[in-house]
Amino acid sequence: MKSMRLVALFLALALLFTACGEDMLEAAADGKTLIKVGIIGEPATLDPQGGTLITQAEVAVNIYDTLISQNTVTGEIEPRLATSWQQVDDYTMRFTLRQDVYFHNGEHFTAEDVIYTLKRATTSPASKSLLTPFDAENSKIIDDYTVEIKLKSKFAAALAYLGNQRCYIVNQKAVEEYGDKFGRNPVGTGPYKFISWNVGDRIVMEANEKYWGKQPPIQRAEFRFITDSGIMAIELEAGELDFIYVVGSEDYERLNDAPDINVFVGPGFTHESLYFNMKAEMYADVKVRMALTYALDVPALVKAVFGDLAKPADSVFSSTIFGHTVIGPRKRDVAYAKKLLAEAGHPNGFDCEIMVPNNSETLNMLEIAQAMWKEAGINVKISSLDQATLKELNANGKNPFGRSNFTASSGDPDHALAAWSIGYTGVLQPSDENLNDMLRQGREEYDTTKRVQIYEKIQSYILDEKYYAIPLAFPYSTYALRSNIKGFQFIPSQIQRLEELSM
Amino acid sequence: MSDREEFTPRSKKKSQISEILKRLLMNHAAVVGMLIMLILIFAAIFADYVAPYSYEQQNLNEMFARPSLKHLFGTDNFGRDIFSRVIYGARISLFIGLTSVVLGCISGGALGAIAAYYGGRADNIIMRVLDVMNSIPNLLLAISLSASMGAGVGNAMIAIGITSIPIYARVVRAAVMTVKEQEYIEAARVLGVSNRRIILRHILPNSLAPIIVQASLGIAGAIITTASLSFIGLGVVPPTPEWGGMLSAGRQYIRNHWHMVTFPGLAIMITVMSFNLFGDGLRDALDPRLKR
Amino acid sequence: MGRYIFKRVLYMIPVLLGVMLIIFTMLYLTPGDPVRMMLGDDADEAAIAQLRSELGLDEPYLAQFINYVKKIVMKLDFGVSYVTGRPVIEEIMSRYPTTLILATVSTLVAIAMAIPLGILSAIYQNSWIDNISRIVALVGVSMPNFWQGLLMILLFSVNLKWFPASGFTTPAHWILPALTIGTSGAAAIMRTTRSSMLEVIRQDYVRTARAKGAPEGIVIWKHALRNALIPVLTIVGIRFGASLAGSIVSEQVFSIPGLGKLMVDSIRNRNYPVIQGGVLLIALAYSIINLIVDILYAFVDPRIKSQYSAKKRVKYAGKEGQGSVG
Repeated sequence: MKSMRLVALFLALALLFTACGEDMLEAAADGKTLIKVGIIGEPATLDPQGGTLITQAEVAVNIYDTLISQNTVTGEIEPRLATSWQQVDDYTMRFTLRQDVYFHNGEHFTAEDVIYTLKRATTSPASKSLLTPFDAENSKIIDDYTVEIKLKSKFAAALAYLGNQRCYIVNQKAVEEYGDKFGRNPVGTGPYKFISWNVGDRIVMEANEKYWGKQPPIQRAEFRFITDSGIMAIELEAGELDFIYVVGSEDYERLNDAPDINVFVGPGFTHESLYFNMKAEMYADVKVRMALTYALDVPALVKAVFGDLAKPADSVFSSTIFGHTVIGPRKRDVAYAKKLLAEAGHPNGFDCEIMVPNNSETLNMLEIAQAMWKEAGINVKISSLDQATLKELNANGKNPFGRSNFTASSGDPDHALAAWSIGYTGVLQPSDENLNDMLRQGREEYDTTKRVQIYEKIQSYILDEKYYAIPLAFPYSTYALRSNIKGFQFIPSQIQRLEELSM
Repeated sequence: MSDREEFTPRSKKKSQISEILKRLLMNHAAVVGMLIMLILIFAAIFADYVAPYSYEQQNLNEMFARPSLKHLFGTDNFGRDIFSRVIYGARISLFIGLTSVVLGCISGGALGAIAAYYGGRADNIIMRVLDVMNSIPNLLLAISLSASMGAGVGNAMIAIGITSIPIYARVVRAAVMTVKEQEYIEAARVLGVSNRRIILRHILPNSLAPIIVQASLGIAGAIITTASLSFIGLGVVPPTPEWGGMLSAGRQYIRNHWHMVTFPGLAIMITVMSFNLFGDGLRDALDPRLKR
Repeated sequence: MGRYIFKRVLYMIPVLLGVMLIIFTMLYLTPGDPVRMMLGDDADEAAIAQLRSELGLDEPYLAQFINYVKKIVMKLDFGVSYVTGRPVIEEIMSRYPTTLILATVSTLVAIAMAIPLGILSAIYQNSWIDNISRIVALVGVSMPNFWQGLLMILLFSVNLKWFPASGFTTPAHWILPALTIGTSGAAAIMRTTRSSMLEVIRQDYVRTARAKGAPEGIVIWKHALRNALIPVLTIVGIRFGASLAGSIVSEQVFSIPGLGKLMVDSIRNRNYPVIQGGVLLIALAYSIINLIVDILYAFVDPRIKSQYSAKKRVKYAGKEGQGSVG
């Protein structure tokens, strides 16, 4: 029976793999407290200067530290690796550093690491764009524990950006030792140190016993990558996960009713808007942009798609962001939209196309919007493309009408409006000098009250005057955790430090 | 014209066909399959009359309605009637299934026929190229193709059609090989009939049986592949009511609204099943030796 | 025999070169820019141009292709993943155990379901057991894998809470995906088992054995089954070979970090080196399995062994039903 032998071979192989499988299990069985966290995708890298994905920050915040951090609830700047800081002049900030900090590789943290990180962050292609006002070349080490950071121009968001994931402090020796593989072997000063990365599956980290702060109560953390929020909810209910970052609107009610699960939702830093390409001839007439805006009933479509898990957008950036002001959402007025179209030379409406990524919420909103536009005589074709194709089209200015979903994790309006500066290669193809000037003023204004006024002016310019965008939704930040986890407080940034939690 | 072609008397051919039909109709499973197929095709063609609602008519006040007399299969996350969408979906799925099979059949069939008829070098080159295609898994090839062409009904159809070329080429090649040796082909050749004519007029008609069987099974496979592509997000895009896309959209609501995934899934299953039943029945009818 | 194997192995080289050319050309024609995926929306044009030239993406088509082949042939260098920065080989090998387990377990599941059912329904042809197993097989091939997977999650993870819904770490995680992939495989294997068993039962030597008064059990086991399993072996081998490519759809449904998911993710990210390397290695594995099946086949069936000198390959099943492997 030759084929029986084949079966036996299969069986032997299977047994072998069973052994492998148990090997993987063993790791969790040594009596340490373990939190299993679900994130919605796999970060490409944990190199803070190598990528800006939100899932990356959700993991990396536990491994790295920043000099200071902005409390995303109160807006206060709080000390981390720097104990104190002062503004020496408009272009200089001086930081005094902690002396008891060690990297996970044993290296002592000093001013040198700060300068190295700043240089790296301002030159690495993935992180530099937001940080252009920083002058890394002229920033200098005063002594081992004092450092002076220079600015090329006045920069109101400097502290907020220093608390952002792009400025997580790295160690030169570690970066050089790992080279290209640093992103997969992260070394920081944070409360957890990196243990392993099981590609496509999970990242594991363990409490750092040499952490400068309070020892984290939870000794081990696992981040599993699950791309489907429904599956994530199922795993949370089954106890396979303890903490999940994304709650789908269809799971919200059920999880909320579950006795052993707590759900936290609230306004976050994310905005989702439709953008018109400023250089597109088709939308050059403001009346066309207005017609597309007035044809939509934004609150209705947000409600239908997000349920209670988003706010209809009332500006270009979320209400939790500094300087936000309420403009809209507009009341739907199909007759007015038709009138505008007629004035713009389209008495019988027109056909156009919107190109967006393959995201179910976006597509769902657009499917409803499509029906609403149709009533105003506008036939919008929805093309869903993959990210790679879309990015290329956007960058080449070949997407006249698109969508943006952006999370300004720093909570600063300059960050939230990054896509509007000339030179940014998104859908917008920004070319409005006037707007660009205002953005620069906002960036350089240190006086908080005046700064708020500038951003109010910008928002009203974009939406009331130019109708460059149709804001759709401010999706909420959502968390769900098993009720045995203590210490959790809602934060809008969707980047939770695990050191604050206990079980 | 016609008298010159008749190497096999027409009456005999006719009786052959009726014999096959008789055998096919004796096979209950195949008849059931055929009936379902006919109903589906009818629904697809006359979807505008059969479907109670339009496939894109939204009603935000009636989202997630359970199946009822008003909405036989319930409504989806936009309050659209799922029954109507499933019916229009038959149009899309059958269209992609049929056209991709026709595409694969014609191009694969031509390659196979050329390979078998001319043999030697042509055969060698064609078969090697097909070997190359064959060593890339079908779905992976379809995914790569539709990534490079973009989503959409037409592109999905082409991608699936291309991936099926090797199968048809093989089937046709094998069939032609056997027919080629028959005496009446020899006779035609001796009479000086052109190669093209021999292939088109004599060899292909006589090797049709296995092609038809493969095609009816191929449609089933193509429908599943289309649905898989849409499920991954690389096939047909919304609001086109493609079954796989409907399943993919309903996936996140599966816990609370089972009807959103149940009916499109059932539609795929029943359609595929009917083509499989028919294909199997046809195979048995065409080749009684295989009757099991 | 040795010569035959050598020839077949040699023949793999042009096939693999062809695979390289096809996949390379396809990617070359695919819109979308890996560099922009790597650097993000706010990267400036200079950085993009620089990285593009570092990766050699600004060279002409032919030069890129020749470079690629050269590196593989001379240094076995498949390049580096654009997303993770790790060598492609490492990237693929880290997924391979998962895919191998899944392929093995689901093939076992398929065999365990299909062969007994196939034999029974052949022995008791046209009885209720035959009808039921034929219907089961029909449903098995007709159900799209992803739908079946979703229903399984709903039933076994959500309602009964027996098995986890995602991931692939412990044997408990294997069960649902293996059942999902296994049933569609089982359908094809069962049909083959049944029909070849039927064919064998009617053969003279079985009839002779029966006439000699051998007990029915022995007739079936000793005489019929042995010969009937030959074509079954082929289809099992081919199925196994195909599933080594990873089960694209099922891995998606159950969030399994296997080869199939790697390929889909890489296609989305335009991670050219990983797609190219992956497809090449999949094609290699597929060709090897095919060769092994053919060789095993020759060992099992002496009639075929003798045919090898005539260079004829007999394939019963071909790529049947591969579309649904998913």
